[in-house]
Amino acid sequence: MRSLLVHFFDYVNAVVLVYFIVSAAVYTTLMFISLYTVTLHSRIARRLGYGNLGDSPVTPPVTLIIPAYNEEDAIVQTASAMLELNYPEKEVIVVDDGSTDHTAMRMVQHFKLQRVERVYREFIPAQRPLVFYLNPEIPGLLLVSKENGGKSDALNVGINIARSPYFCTVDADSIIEKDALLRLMAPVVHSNVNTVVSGGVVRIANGSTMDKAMVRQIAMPKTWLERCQVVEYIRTFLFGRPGWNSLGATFICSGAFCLLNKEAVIQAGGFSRDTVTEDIDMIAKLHRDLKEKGRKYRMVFTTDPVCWTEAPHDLGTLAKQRRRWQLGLMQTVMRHDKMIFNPRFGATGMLSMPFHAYVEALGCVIEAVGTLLLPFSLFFSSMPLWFFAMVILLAVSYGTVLSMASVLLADATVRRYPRYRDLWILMAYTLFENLGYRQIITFYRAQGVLQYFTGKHKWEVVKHGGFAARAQAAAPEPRPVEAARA
Amino acid sequence: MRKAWLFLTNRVILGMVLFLALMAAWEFRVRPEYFPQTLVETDSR
Amino acid sequence: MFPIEFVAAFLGWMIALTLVVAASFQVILLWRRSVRARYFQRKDGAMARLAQPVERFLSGAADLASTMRLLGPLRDEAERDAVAEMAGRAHHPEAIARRSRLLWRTGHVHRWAEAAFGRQADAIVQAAFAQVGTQIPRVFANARMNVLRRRRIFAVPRALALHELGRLAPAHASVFLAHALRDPSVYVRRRAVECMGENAYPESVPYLLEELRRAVEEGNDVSLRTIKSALVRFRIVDMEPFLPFFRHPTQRMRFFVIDTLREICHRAAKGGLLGGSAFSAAMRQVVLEDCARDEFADVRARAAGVIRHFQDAAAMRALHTLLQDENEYVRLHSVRACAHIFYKPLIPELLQRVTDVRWRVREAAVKGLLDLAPQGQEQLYHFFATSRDKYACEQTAEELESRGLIRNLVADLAQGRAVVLHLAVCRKLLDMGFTSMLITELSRIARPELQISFTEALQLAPPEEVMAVLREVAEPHPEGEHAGALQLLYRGPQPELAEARTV
Repeated sequence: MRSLLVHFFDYVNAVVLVYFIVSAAVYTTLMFISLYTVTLHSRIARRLGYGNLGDSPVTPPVTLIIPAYNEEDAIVQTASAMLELNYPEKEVIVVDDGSTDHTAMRMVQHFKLQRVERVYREFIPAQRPLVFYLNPEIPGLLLVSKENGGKSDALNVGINIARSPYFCTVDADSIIEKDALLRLMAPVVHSNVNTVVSGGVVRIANGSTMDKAMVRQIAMPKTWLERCQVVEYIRTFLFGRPGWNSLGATFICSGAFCLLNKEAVIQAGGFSRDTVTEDIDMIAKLHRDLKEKGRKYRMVFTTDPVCWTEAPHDLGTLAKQRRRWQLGLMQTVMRHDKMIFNPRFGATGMLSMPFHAYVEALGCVIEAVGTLLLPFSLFFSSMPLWFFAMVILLAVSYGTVLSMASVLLADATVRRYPRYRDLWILMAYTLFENLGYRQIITFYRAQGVLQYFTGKHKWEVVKHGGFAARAQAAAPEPRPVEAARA
Repeated sequence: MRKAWLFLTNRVILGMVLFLALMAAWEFRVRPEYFPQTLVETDSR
Repeated sequence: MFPIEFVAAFLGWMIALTLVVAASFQVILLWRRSVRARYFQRKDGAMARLAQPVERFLSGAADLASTMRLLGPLRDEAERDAVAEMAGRAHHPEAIARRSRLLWRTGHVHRWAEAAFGRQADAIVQAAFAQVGTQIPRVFANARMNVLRRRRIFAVPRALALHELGRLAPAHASVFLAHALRDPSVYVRRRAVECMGENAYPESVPYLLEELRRAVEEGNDVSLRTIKSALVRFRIVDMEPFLPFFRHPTQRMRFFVIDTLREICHRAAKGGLLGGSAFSAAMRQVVLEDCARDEFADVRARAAGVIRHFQDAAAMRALHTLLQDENEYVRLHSVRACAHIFYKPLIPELLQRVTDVRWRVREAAVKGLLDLAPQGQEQLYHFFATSRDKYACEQTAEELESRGLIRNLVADLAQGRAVVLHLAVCRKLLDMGFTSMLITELSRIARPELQISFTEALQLAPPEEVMAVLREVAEPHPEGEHAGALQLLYRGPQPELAEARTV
């Protein structure tokens, strides 16, 4: 009996160890690839600019679709910011998804919208809109009200109404930089293969000073929870995704700020309504649909367009968010499992899909179980204490290396933290993040996986407070030289 | 029934089950004795 | 398998390695910051010190020799970058020419050329200085080296150097850019194409056309959009080298050249029409006789966008034919091309397009007719008021709302202008259920007889929202002026309804 227990705990430790080795090997590869590609891309992006795209008739028009549910605090500012984006031809469609607050009223009042009738053509099945609003003096803005059907349904309605060949999904509580849409479109224009997805970086705005739709002063937030998320986001967006993109294996593009080809999305059937992370699911759907049709295509991720978003301030909200993301990831990998180790899907099928399925999706369960059983393992396992200690120390230091590499990358890109104090905090949190925060997130993720297997497939409601510092900035205008360096 | 079948033949589940089974086989059959089985030895004495 | 001591040592070394790597990243980060801080400090200092001589030279207030004396030897990268940045603020062509002279003399051009072209820099610099476009071979030398030269780590510095060379005076820059088209890296060639477009120097057009031809016929890693984006910055007079390509055997090539010409015309016209004198006789002929009758529909479609600018009888005839084309895109583009007051004789044909089978053509026709105010708008109103074509009427109603023309309609009615026609249009809108904007505008006007007339029309098929409003108004106070609302609610207008209205 005891022998069995020893074997069992050794078995658990061995599984955790193998999981750690595999994920470390993959992350190390991604790290080196990203260090190479991101720094070189930043050099070019910083110097060359996108002015020639900004006034070119060849730059395709874009529809910005903002699905909104109970976003009365943020929607007006977000819509205004979208209208002011530096882009030659765009339209903005705000889809009010049956909000129970004053989202629509705020829009109507601020932009002096009038109710109109519209011919609605359905390319993707979706709930019919109830009301349309526009102001003839603001021709690029349309507000659509419909009954609540979820974010996917709202996006599908927006796609049905969109006039442009490309559309950009924008979260109602996000801030997009003025040139971000041009930067997002640049790889599409520069590519001679149909680029169906172009994703950008999402950064955390907590702690930074906003002035209407611009980030005036980038700074670190005050609480440990938000600081850990800053490090985590930088790691995800500056080396996870660029690394996969360089291998031609893009699997995730954040729906907070993502450009998609409308025709390709319509052909793929639009956003799925039975998933909680429609953005991840859409990428997988596009891969499958385009491969099945034998079409040449490309999905890109660039590190210089920037979308700022608000990260959760408290553990409760963070937990809901991470459970939802994990649930969505599980739904996607389980639904599209035929892509795994399928050479038809190229690097996505052979590399990133298996990695996301086994390491990102299910691996958190292994990590959570290993962490939970750690005290028992210490007692029952045949592995001595020093071995455990060394492995844990290695895991923490390795995690620190990855985070430090991403902080180095962040400093090389266009939106770094200018103050030294913030830099020191960032560096410190590359270590602290591994001592507690990571474990907490692992447990939330494991709960998300559990939710999948127990049949829960719906959103948990997350209350947004709006950006904390959206009032007029007190900070002085930065000097042109400083602005260029920031 | 069909749902159960689809679930069990899902590549994600299959892959994970395979991995765990291989690890179990390694642990219970092949694993070298790195560390002394002190509790077992104590018991057997 | 490995002994335990080996595993322990391995783990120990791995921990040490990760700690060292983490520490190195920290050191690199801090070192990089301090290096950049020092660099920017020196650069700021250099800019403060050297700004005045540079600005005086660029504005023509000083000569090159005295400016060079004032600048002195540029000791480091910060000072060189400061001079280059200040000189780069020149936008006027004369200032750009002076800028080029300055950067030649300070050695910037040589430095950039070395970075961009390596060992071939000297010959290319001489050719550029002489503004001689040398015969540039198409063959890329040394294919094996090119594999390495294509790598981003080597290509990015070349692209950045070429970016600076491309901003020199166009006569010099075009030579550098033409040579850069031989580079194996797409970053460099793309930048060369973009710079050619930004400079819009006529000598560059043949190179861009060649890139276009390669992209269409052979495959080119510089995208078609990038090439086209560069080409559309040129002027029409620069497009003479395009002429043979309008008869190119490859239809895609013909499409791209006519589409580029269309974009150039659109850009130059700034919403108006250019007039026939903007085009050479040869160009007019080839567009009217070849492109307008091309077998490839997309070529015919884009030709309409060019023909409109000829603004003559031949253009009118050509557009008349294209409006009846069998292909929807040709009709669509032709309809858009007619949206100018010069083409008002084509209003009847545009009206026909309002009932086109394709909704985009219908939409474009409605927009075009509204742009051809007042005649086009009036004819569209007549059509709308009397037509039974559901799709055409929907398109029209939608456009009237989108453009805010409902307000103009109601305002005209209030002032007694074209009452019969506008009233018919409004009744049609009500019949179709396009009531929202109409009701809003109606509530703003102070003409009771107009309001009554509309409320009577609303009785025929009152929308639910209107019924709800009437109930709210009428039911709490069934007497007095609310009697009118009550009567409307129960569909029985009373004589005192008119008296109950107040101005």
